[in-house]
Amino acid sequence: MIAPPSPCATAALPSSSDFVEDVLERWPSTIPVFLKHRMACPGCPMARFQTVAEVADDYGLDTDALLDEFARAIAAAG
Amino acid sequence: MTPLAPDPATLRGLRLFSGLDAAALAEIVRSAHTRRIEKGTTIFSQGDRAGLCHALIDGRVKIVQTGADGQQLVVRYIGAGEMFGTAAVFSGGIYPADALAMVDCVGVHWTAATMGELMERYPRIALNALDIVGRRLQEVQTRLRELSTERVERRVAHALLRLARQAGRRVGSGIEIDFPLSRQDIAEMTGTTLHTVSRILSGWEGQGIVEGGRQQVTIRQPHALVVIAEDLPKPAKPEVTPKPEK
Repeated sequence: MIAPPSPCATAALPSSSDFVEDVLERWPSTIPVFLKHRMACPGCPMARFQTVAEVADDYGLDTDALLDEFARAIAAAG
Repeated sequence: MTPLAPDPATLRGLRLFSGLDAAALAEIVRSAHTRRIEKGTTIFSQGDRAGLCHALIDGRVKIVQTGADGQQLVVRYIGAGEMFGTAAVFSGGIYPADALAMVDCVGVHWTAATMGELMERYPRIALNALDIVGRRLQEVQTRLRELSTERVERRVAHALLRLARQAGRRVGSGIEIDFPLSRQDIAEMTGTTLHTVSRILSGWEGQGIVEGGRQQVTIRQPHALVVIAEDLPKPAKPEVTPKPEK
């Protein structure tokens, strides 16, 4: 149930167990992906408690597909 | 266009005329004007003098009110067997909204004067009218209560999210607000009463959104609370989905 501490400080790409707020902070180029899916995560007070996998589930999205979109957005941003 | 004679059987289905005998219904039918109404027709307009009582025999009519800012609000939909535009007639006023035919309709109407005479002759019609207006008033009051409750619910949801942001701690069952927090505290934060906060939190507990001890609140479904606070569209998936073990 409890996600392990986010390893994203050093990781190259977001993972499913990262907290959403960490992802948003480390990779701001993912923000448009959240907005595209009409996710309320950017600026949400719960983003620091919820993992990527959990919010994908909340919005009925596939976690791996979402991570792929993040990766593409990050790559496009350089 | 051929003139239509309203079918007394249809009029008997109207609540306004319930409990009347055949002779009375026959007289009501004789004094009625029936007409076909083409789709898109404005049957009456907001601000017009309310001179006619309408009933719908067939079709569907939309009652639309336009606010001072130009924003339109659908007040209600009228189906076959329902009266519309009558309350304004009884109060001798103006129509408070537009009535638009959404499909081809058959409508029947009486002039205000005719309806007044019918009511004097058959007080039962006046009693029925009172019943109809009373029920609509109750509907409006229910809606009003829902609207004001919704606003308080959003305020309470926002307060919990703010507190979680400041003092939340992830625990196995969700996000615990990590300091003693009473329902009275939440009431004071949101400008409402202890009773209202208790009712809202009990509802959320029933849905599994939060879990509360006497001085303790744990958010079990953070996303559900965000949905309430931000008035987001409800998630399409069912409320409880067992997560597959990976």
